[in-house]
Amino acid sequence: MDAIITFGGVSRTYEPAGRPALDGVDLEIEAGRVTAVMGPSGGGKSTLLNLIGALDRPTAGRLVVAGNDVTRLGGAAAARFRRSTIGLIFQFFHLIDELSVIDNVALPARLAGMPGRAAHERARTLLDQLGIGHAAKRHPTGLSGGERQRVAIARAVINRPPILLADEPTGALDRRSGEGVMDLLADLNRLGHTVVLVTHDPRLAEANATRIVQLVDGRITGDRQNDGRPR
Amino acid sequence: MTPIAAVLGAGLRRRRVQGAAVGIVVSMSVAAATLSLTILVGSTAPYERAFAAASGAHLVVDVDGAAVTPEQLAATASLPGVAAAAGPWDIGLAGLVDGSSPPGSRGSPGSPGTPGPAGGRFAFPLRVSDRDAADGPVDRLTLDGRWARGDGEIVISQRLARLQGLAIGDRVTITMAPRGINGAEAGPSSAASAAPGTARGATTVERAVVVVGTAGSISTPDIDAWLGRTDFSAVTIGGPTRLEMLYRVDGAATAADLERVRATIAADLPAGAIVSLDTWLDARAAVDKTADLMVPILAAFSVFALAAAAFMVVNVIGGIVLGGRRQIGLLLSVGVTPRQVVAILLGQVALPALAGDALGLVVGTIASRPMLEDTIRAFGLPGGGELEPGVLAVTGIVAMAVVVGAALLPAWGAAHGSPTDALAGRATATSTRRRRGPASGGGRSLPTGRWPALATAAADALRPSVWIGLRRSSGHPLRTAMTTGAIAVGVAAIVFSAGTYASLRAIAPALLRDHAAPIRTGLVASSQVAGIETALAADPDLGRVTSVTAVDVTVPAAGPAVYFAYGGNASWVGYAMVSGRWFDGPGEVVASSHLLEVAGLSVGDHLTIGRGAATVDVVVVGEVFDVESDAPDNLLVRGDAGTIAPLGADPGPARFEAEPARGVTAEAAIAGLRGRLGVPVVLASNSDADEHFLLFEGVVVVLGLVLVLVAVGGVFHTVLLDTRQRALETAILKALGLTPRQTVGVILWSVVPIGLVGGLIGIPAGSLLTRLVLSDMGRIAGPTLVPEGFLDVLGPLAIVLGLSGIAIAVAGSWIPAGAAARSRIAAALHAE
Repeated sequence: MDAIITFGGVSRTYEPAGRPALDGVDLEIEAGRVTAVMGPSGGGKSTLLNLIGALDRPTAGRLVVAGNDVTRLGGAAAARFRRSTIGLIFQFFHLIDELSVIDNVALPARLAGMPGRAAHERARTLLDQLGIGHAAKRHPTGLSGGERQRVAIARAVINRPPILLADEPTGALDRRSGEGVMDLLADLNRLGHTVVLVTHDPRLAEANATRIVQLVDGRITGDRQNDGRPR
Repeated sequence: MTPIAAVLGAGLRRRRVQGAAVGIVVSMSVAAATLSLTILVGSTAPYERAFAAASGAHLVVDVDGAAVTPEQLAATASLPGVAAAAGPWDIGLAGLVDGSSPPGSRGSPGSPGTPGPAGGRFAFPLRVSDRDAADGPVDRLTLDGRWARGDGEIVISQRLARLQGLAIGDRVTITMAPRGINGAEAGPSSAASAAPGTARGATTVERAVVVVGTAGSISTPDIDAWLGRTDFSAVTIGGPTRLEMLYRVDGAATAADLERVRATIAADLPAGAIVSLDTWLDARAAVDKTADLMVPILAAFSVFALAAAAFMVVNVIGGIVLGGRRQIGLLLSVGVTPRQVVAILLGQVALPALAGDALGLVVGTIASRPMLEDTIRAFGLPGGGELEPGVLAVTGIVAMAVVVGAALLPAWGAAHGSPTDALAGRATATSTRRRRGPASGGGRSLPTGRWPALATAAADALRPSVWIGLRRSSGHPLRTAMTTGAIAVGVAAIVFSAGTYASLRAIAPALLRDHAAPIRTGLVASSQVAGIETALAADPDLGRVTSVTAVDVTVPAAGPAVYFAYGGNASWVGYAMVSGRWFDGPGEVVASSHLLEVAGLSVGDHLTIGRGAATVDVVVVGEVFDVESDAPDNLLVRGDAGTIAPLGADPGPARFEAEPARGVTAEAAIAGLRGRLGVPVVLASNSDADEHFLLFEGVVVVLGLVLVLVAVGGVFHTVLLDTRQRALETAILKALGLTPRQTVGVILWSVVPIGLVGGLIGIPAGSLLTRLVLSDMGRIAGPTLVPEGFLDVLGPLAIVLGLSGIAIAVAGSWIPAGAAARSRIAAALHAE
């Protein structure tokens, strides 16, 4: 299967003399699969995800995502890239409390230029599909953690991006809600979305990922298919 | 170090930007308040303070030097009632040679350059004294440089230095007084009478002197220069000989007190020896009138400055305290008491505020110095005015009180709220329901208000950055209100400054009438009026000419008044009307607002004018906008000379007003007349250069700009803190695809409604204040009403100025918006 994400010697150092958060990473992630990135805290998992989503820039190396060299993207181009290519799911949901649920979900579509009415219709459809249509006009602060994460997932997919980046998506949820969220991600993967999942929970990775990458101190220390075979 | 101090210190270090914002906001507010209050206090009773500082003279007596010896005059120092005296000094008239403009600029009688005896070069008239020292028991001069040590040196007045552009070290040439100035006829000197070193021609005495000092006198502001004895004698030869003596007297509070001492002095001198007498009461009244005119303007600006400062300080500091809720929750959860939390929060605000307070006092003091000097100078007082330590102390203390007060309330509420709410970032108590979203249930309930469906539909049609920005604009009600208030103050200041400036620009020529009737003569004896009238009428350089005679009359209910009787058509002389029209011939008059008010009359009413037993009935056809120093209390009537002919009044001396002929400048017309009439002919005060109007205009422009900067600064710091507190939200939006330009747009659009509302509040506030201040100035100067056209000169332009609220909001937001657009997304997301 073709790689949709290609790291070529990518490093990210936050301070000139500091230890790199990512240190010369070479990695290819195939399209249409669920890839879990695991490792201890501070190992570079979130940095890797941020670089894929063009939320941050490498200090060295080359990173190509869905045909875009994200190391060369300027601010506006990176924003357009995120709108069209990336769906982001965060541990703490990062919904905007001042907006209603439906406005939160419709927001990326509106940023991508979709008219307000059309964006709301699509958001409503997604919310219904995810089983939270009843909460469309409520505000995030009035929802449970699981409901909020469903809203965040709806927001992530409204522009139908090929890649979903999920950073500890169940980290703030109880077990049952977490399982529900992972089921949703699996469904989205079956619909063709490439999912990159950052987690420190081995059970979650084993249960849901087709490939597991271990990242320790900014370096890849393990990379295997989720059938136990090394790549 | 105690744990509380450690937390406080760590908080200050970690929140450097916040600390800097507090410091800068407080310093800007304090500087603006210091500036306006210093000038306000400096304009309050300035004469008394300058008089006390200089030990000014209560009486200034000039005597005829031919009738009184210096010894006789000196002996009056020991008369009963005289507490101290200085002098006598010789006073004389001289001229300043070489291409400088005359002292007094345009408009001062006797001030225009006059061809003098100095070989055809222009000589400008100087009133000179041979005073021998700057200090003494009476009228201590403010002196820069040093006093003249002898001949060849001159000390000039600060006014002369300013008007002629002279400075210490300059070499100037002085000569005899120009012919025909103030009655002086500088005759040709003789070789025998000229002093050594004098360059002399057939009719010329010149002395080259070096300016060694500039000085200001509270009691003798009419003296232009002080000379060594020999130089003085050389250049005043042939002029009138006068001696001047200055007195401080016991009990000088009233004119009666001073009259008693004057009578004592007069009785001790030969009859008729006193040729002029000036009292400190007259001088004080003249200065106070100008100073009083300043007070409404400065009071308005002080209110602006203090209001803007309060809005900014409360806004920024309240926002900071509320923004620190998580820190408060942490502190409470680890056992810090609410009182200690309050202390920490206050410390984090008060310490940088204290630094800002001190900086603001320094900046305000430095900035107010030149304005205070200009103000004092415009009052005609010596020196530059003194800064009042009390103003600085009060400003500094009040500013800190506002800071502590602004921080205390939210800090107290936060410290006594629920730690779990605080840790969750939820506001406490009263604001909880407002800021939290609905916990359950349906309905569309924004944390800070509901959007009507129509507004939502409209917002949906907008670009995302506009839509999101507009939603943000109502994010924090208190902050929104405070920012709106700061912008409203800025807009009101702009409208007030522009309105007052434009009004003063319109009022100046209406009062000085330099455009309509720029050519004025001195007083002409009644026996000469006909001859001069004929000469003026025959002058091809002149257009319309009219004579004006002031006649004392009485008006029922108003009492004594002055009737200004015009010879012929005077409809062109340039008075503006409050209402009605200019008189059209005998039987019609225009009257001042004050006279109409006191007499209980209106335009169209009949008025009985009396003089002695005779009366004449006239119709008031207009209310004239008039501030006439020759009419006590501005109780005056203007009309045709023929109107009061039945009163049988001796017309008395008259003066003439004229306009130049078409194609002829007023200056050229005056040059042609000078020397032919036997009376001074001068230009009317230039309304574009009048010192008082320039002062008022300068004050409104400078203080207006200061307040606009303060408003912009207030918005800047508010938006800066807001964007920092919304860093996560901005990062989320950027992560979802908001471009840097859209990020800037979101933040700018978030302040546009605030700027618009601030403008809508500021326009009427500024316009109303303009009317109030100008009306009050009219009351003080006249009293007179101000024509409606001068109160509202901006008209629709005020609406345009109202848009400056948006400009202020956008200008203040621009830098924080750019910073937000450049901020790193990942860092903000992970900071959570």
